[in-house]
Amino acid sequence: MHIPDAAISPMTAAVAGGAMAPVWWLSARRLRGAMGSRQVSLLALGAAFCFVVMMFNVPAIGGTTVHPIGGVLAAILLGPWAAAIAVTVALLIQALFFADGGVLALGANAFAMAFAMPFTGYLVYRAMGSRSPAGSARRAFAAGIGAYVGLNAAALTVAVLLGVQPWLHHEPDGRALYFPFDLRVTVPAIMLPHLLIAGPIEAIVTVAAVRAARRIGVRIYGEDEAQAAGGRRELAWVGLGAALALTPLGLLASGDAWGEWSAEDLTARAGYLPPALGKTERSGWKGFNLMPDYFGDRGPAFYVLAGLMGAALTAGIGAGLARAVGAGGPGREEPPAPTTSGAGSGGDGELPDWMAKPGEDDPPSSKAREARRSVPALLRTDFLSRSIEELARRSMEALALEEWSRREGWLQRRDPRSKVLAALGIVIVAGLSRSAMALGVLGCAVLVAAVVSHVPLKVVAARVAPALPLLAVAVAAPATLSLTHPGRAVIVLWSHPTVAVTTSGLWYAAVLLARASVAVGAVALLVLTTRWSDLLGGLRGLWAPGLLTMVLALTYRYLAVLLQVAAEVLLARRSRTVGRVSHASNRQFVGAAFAGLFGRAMSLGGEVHAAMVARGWTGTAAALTRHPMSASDWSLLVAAAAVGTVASAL
Amino acid sequence: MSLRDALAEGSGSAPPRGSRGGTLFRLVSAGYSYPDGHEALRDVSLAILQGESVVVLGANGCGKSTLLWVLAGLRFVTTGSVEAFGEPLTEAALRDEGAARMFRQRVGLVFQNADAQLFSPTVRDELVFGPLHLGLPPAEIHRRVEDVARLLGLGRVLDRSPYHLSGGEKRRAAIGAVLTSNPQVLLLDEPSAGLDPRSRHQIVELLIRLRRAGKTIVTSTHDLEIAEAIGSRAVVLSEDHVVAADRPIAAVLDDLELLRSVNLVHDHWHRHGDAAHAHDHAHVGEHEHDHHSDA
Repeated sequence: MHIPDAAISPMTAAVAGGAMAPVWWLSARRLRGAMGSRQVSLLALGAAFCFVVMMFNVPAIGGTTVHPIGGVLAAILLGPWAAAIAVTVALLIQALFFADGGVLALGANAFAMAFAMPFTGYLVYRAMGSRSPAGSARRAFAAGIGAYVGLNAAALTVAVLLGVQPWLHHEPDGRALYFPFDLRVTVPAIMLPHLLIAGPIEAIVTVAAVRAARRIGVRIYGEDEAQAAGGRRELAWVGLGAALALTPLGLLASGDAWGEWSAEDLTARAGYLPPALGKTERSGWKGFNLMPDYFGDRGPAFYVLAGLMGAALTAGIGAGLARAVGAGGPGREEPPAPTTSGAGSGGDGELPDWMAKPGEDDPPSSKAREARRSVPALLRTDFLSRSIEELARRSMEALALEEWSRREGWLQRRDPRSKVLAALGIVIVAGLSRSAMALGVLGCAVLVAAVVSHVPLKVVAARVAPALPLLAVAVAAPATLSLTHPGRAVIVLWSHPTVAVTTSGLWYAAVLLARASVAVGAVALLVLTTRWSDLLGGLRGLWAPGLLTMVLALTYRYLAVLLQVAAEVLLARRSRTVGRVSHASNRQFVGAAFAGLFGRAMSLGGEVHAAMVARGWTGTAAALTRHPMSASDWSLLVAAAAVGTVASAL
Repeated sequence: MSLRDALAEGSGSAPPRGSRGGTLFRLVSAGYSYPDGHEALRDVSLAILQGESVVVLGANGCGKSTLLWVLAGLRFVTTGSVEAFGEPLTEAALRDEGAARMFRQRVGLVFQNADAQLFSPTVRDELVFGPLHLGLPPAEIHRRVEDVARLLGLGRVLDRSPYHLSGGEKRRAAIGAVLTSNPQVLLLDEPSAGLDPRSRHQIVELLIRLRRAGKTIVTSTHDLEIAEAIGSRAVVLSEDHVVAADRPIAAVLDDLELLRSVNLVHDHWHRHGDAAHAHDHAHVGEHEHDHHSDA
């Protein structure tokens, strides 16, 4: 349920981000006050943990997948405030590295998954389970219900954010500028899989993980101080947060009317009659509520089904294209160099003079190539294996990204601050632009930058491709239909009433995909040509608070360790399993394995924190002073601004 | 006088090389129990003098790591008392940021688990972390990073992620990360665990040099060979977490009965001879060196 950039308007993204800002601020403040610097490493763990959980895809209706989020689990184990930051960081990493969810849309995604989900889920958990003893069945039940409600609150938030787009942003002729479907479609389309499939899974995972966590002695948030006087006040805070989180629900409740508006009503409210609506009325239905008999169902379901028909087709093509483009991957022409070689790798043994004694030998300075780690070959028979495999592949890819950032190139030499600003500028202009020409100019700019930075276009394409099928399925394919974009029919799918793929619909879908491709490409290029530490430094040098960059840095660090552990856990299990494993036993294993991961991560986190304190860390991030931006760094900004201006003018 | 004043007083100039003198740490009946009641140290009394190289010997789980964490000011004794640099070492004392800074500068701990200790994106960031947070000027930090990289042979891996390093490189990076802060007291938790003979030998060489440069070194290990090579004195922890012996290293290694009682040797164990001999033995096929007299 990650909202991609360009699916919602920058204004919506800004509003959602603005709504998240106080949550982030309060969380950071509260955590700093409550637990000091220790919380930072716990947060990083929680974020890495959520990130891992989100990679477990489970098949849902019509060839799509849903995944658990772990937000309520994090809230139960770490507390909702810590969970809010942890999930946000997981989302940020996904947006930056995995093209999963938009960068601009981060605030919106965070509002759903890092705020609505943990706070709602935690409130339910506390309300149901706080009076029963720790470890009781009732507590476990409460955790499961909390997880179910939390996940669906997040799904509902996403459905609402998407569904209000056509009302907020549309062309004078009524066609949506951004997400073309309104709440009546988005709510059932998004909620159904989450209510039926993702919710129960989230509940099972959460209950299993919480129980297992208790068994292995992980301290569960709030249980020690359950009797303390502060407990009640805390609940009040949680209640306030949850009430805020539930406001989208309120909108929907009053919005029963939304689903029942007649065309006249809509015309009165919006001041115009959307052409799609008018057309469907002419062809015999009233609004979206009337459905032909042969579908056997009411309005929204028809929409969903129609959407799915086009979606399945486009998804097949999109996946095929993505596979074809991504098959080669970044150049793998050479075998890895050995990590250590020859004499002298152990040092000359002479202490430097500041350490008491001078030394003179020269260091061996040849740059060794990154050793590539091969992803363990796993069986491909069940969703668990596929998820782990995907997880390992993606993480290794992310770690191998530095391959390009270490090479000589134009962008590699630019100051990370200027790169961050330039990429952000391109994302914003692309998000606002509707002209194919403008998007072409922006896309060319990105491609030229890639070429002069010696990043093969294939590599950039491989980073952009994974984002497209999702967008194609969720947005572009349904938009090609005559229901949203009336026009000359290209392919008639249904003749009574008429449902067809139209030229204007195809054009709209193409522009939408181009917009997303340019945005994702710009971010991908930024990440490809900037070393992780420099990127963090750049963010820090711009506006990001120190706490955020420190959490990001730690999360990245833990991620590698955690993923390795996860892959090992699965391999260990495989090596002891004969034959096929039932889905039920897989689910049980996932829960237990997550809890084990969490326990291990917690103890590792404690040690990492001690290692930082032992070396003088006091809770603030320090950075070596950076050089001022050079003329060529400014030139990058000027060039980006020029391209942006030209594109906006088109 | 507070811990801060005590630290400030001693921070003026480095002690003359090889000097043995003042007491840096003093533990009196110190005990540590984990919050769940598990006891890790019981009634430990010992002193660590300036310039000494103390080896903490003991089987797995006897409390060696806990003792080092206590000395490093990361855990605080639950019974008894600990003094560092003549002043009580308590959680409250380290809450003062100035005192904490000076204490952290003077006492460096190399963790047993290099994966936990190395948390930065690159080895260079790792080496920079300590001096950066201690407030050193950038030019000095860069110089130290270069020096330590050369000393430990980390030059070619400086810009790589610690995640990609081999076991030996990780350990050297972990030691380097502490050395850039130039601590007066170096605490090492099982520095030779899991290393191949060559890497092990490099660590021994380094520790001998550091000791001759006047560092105070406390090493926990159950590796009697390296204990013999690097230590002057041995503190033996028994499996019930008390100090079983505190004697010169040779005297401890000659006491087979003692070693057997704390599960450091088994019935088929035998010694390679005196310290110098064992040291020589470890160097067969390596390069020339000149510290026989030192061992």
